[in-house]
Amino acid sequence: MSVFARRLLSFVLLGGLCCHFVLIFIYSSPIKFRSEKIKFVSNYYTYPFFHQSWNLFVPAPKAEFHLYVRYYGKDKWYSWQDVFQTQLNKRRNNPIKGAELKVLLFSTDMNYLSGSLSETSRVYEVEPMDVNFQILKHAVKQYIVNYKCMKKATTFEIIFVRIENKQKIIQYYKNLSLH
Amino acid sequence: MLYLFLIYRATVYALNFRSLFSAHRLIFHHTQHAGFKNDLAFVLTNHYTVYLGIFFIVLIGVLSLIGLFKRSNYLTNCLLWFTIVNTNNFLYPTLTAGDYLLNQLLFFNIFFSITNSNNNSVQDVKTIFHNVALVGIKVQICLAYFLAGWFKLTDADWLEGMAVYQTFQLPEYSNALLQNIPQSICMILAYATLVYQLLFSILIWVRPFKIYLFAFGIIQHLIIAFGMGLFSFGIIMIICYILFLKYDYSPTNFADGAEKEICED
Repeated sequence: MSVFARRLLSFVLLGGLCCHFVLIFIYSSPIKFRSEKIKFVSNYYTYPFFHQSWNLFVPAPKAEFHLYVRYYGKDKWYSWQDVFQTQLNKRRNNPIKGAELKVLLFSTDMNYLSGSLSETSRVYEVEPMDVNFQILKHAVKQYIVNYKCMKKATTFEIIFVRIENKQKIIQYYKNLSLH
Repeated sequence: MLYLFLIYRATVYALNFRSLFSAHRLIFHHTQHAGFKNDLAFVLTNHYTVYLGIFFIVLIGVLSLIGLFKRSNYLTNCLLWFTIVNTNNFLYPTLTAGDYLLNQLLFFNIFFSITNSNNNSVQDVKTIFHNVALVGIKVQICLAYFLAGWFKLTDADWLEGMAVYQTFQLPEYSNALLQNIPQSICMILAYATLVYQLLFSILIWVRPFKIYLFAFGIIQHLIIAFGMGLFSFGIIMIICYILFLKYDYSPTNFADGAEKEICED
């Protein structure tokens, strides 16, 4: 291969690399670009294969979550259990065994729900149709089925607690069906 | 190192198969079709079956083993990238920024090849791709740090030095040791992190600073991995440092660690 051909190929590839990073920069930087065209092109190129997000711990997390769950089976209500705390303890005891994944899963689901919470504590006699609640409910339901071996349980309840700046918001979801 | 991490990942997926990949998985899924390009990244999500889940985990393990034993090529590397991107998208609530960085590392890994060609022209082309991918990885890591620092500059808690202390007070990102670190120390840590992330992309190219940067970074990410509980994120970032160090002193295949002669233009 001639020197010219090698230089040309290097130049073309480095040019491509520059375009790649410019589009990723536009997609993931804190700058809000006004041009819809630029935003569209960068989104189209970057998502989903090169998607990345670098707002790590921004804003710094302030909310502490608890996820209490109890279920009805074999003619009795079982005692409340903080599912999230259980996973945190497992992760603390052995960080490399993969409990991290369940912590992240519940944490993400609770953050979704937290974003659509009303600022007051509330009891839900009828299950809300809010998609963020449905995502969390799905995780809890499968957790009961998988880890409590409660395939025959019929009903369960969730108490979701969010503590931020010493303010506690409690949401109590009753009469949730396991089927 | 990267392949070892992926083998670890495949093992963790297998150990947590019931909650992540089974019919009773904890993750809420809905199929999403958004054009051919996007669908390629959601094959596992859109066409999920338990057997496909098992196939993806086995594929990650096998392709990583192929890489570990230095038998990888462009095709296996490309397949590994595709598999990891799809698996990560399937496990979307469990992802951290480290997983997205892993996608990028594996993308550039496609262009690395450890096999030498007898044909000089082909070898030249391979070498050029190799070198450009090497630049790509380094720029990607620098971009990640720069953006992470920039985002922090837009947040009042980071500017006031309170972010680390607040984070350490939450059981989700802390342990008994971190929770008891005095506020003044946390403030120093917050500013040190801010300065580190902003200056990383510049100082990393200045040889005398490099070793101090890596020392600080490795300690920081060990704390994140074992103290804050974000194990995978911490380890992926440490792998990035190792790649940076490795390429400074010997031009080797990025994921395989195999020695490879790089022809300079």
